[in-house]
Amino acid sequence: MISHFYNFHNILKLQITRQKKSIFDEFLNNTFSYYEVSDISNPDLFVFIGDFKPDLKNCFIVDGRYYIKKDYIFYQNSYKYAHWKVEIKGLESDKTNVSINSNKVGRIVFPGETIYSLIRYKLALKGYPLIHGSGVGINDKGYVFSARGGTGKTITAINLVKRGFDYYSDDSLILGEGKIFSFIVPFNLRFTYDVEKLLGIEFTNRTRCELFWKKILYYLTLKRISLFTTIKAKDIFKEAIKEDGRIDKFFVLTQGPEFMIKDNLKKEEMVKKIFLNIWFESPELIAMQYAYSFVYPKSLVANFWENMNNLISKNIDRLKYYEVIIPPKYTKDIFDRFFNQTIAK
Amino acid sequence: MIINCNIHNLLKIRIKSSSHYLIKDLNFRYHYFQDKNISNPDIFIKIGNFTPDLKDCFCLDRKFYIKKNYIYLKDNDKNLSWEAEIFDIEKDAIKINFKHNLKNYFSFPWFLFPDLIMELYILQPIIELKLAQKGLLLMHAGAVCKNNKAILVAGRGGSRKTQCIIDLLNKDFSFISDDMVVLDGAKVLSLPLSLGLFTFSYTRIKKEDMNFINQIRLFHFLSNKNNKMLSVIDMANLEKIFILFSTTRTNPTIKDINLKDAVEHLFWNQRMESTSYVSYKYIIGGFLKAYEYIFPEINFNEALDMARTKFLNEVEKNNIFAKSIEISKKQDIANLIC
Repeated sequence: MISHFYNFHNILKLQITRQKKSIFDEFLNNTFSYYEVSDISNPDLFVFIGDFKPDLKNCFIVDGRYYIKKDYIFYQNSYKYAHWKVEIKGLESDKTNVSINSNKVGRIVFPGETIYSLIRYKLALKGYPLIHGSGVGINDKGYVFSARGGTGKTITAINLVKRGFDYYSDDSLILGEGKIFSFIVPFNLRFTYDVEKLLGIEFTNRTRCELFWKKILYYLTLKRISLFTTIKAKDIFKEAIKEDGRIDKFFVLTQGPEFMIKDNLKKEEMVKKIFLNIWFESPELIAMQYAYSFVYPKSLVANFWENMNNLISKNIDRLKYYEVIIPPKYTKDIFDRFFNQTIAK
Repeated sequence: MIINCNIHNLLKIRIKSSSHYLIKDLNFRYHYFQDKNISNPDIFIKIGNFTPDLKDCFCLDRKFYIKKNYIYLKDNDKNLSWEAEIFDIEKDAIKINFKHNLKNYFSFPWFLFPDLIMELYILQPIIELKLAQKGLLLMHAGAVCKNNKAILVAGRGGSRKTQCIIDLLNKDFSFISDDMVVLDGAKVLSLPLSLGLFTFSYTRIKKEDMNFINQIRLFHFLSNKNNKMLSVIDMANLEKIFILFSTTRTNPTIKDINLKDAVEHLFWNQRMESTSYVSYKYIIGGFLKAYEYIFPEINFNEALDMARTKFLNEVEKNNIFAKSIEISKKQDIANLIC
């Protein structure tokens, strides 16, 4: 038994316990390593990885895949070569116990899918939505950039950090108490991007080596296996990392034909964009939540997305909103115009 | 080949396809509604090659390309991949261009019914939207009737909905639909989308059992054009709602439930049906959500919510009762219901 403990801003406590070692575990260990602590008592979310026997007595079966009873769900999932089984006990309780069993490849995939889904779910129940966006700040003024993948939220954040801003996150952020809380996970790089040039970051020789052999593996397997390389945010941003701060301006970035800044967005429209962005990120959570809601339409789980919407609405009250249209080629020039017309003002 | 469909005078669809396929029944599931001539179709679909117009488009996830009244999407699910263009989604008449790129021509079983991909992933969410705008609900449920009084049977996959319908037909009920219906207030309208498949199950094997031999027999049955199909009742008044649950419990239970709860089960059932189909990673109505993401002032769900509220009000006015049936795999469903 190997246990790791994580504490996200005293909002959520997570314990991950593994039955035995595996070479693929490095990926899972790295994912939340920024929040690792030596010990916690009473984790909100306890994840056990290893063999388990699901308790399928008196369950409803939905679509032949989901086994559901009050406060309980068991399901199986697969993606390409990865297969995993998940059992969640205490779905609607304060303390949630999760058991996951998977094949070896599955251990690379499920942190991103299952554990993220569960963290998002638990945080929302506590009143803290985990949104999809990057965040930076300066002088206790936070700026959030919510966007779909590939629009430029990471580049925006990195460019601002280079100008002396504090770094909160480049992918996900926790909203709550009128503040943003960092949610720092490692960068997952695919060799296909020319990230080094793009971001102006110097990689270590070890990282370069790793990217190189993964590229070879990709072509040797006829483009079937493409592995990520993880780089810890600490190694890139060092002292710029900050835990939390007040939000000042909220941006939604959309990839579109021409650079444009709209500052007449209504609050409902803003909420909808942030909401749909999270919705698109959570297919596993949607599938699981819908199956449970079919059986228990009056439960807490059935109201999950409605709650999420209200939480976002509550947390972005009385802010300045912008929608920024970013063209497919996000050049330095466009970033400068973006910066001068909004943040520098 | 051109197929014109008129669904209960509510929706008119024209499908023009250049694919070659063996089984018509599974490629155009709406062919029960086939009509010689229709004017001004609400939905016009062209299946075949096209060149997308990506100029001035907003892009989402490198999957959806959107501008006002235009959606282009390219997507894949398991070993299927397809591209589609949807014009005038906010207007009354919608035009769709669709092409499928089956990576492997022999990707079983999809090469037998390539046009079905369009229907499942593109057409169904649009039909649901169009019906909702007219105050009607597309509902994943089967239905049978006797003396113009209908029983609605709903359940998720694996809850033996089809078996339940077959059993009810054997007890002198008439057939409305086995998988999909349209609800107009407390009226049930038929939407038999796989009539051939159901007719085969009902008349030839008399139960829901699709083993390998039956699949071959089904293939033979569907490719023969002179089969006599089951007769369909087009409309009846809703009287009972059965919600089927599959359980691991040993003893079956059947109990009366609150009408409001039953309706909630129905709605969640339909939400699940219209969200994910083949794999969990895929969200079916995704392109509508993507359009809303770019133009947040548009709310497609509004019509659906209104149609749902209308349905709930209507059924509460009429004397409709609901039962939930919890049953395990091995138990006999027929004796329980009747």
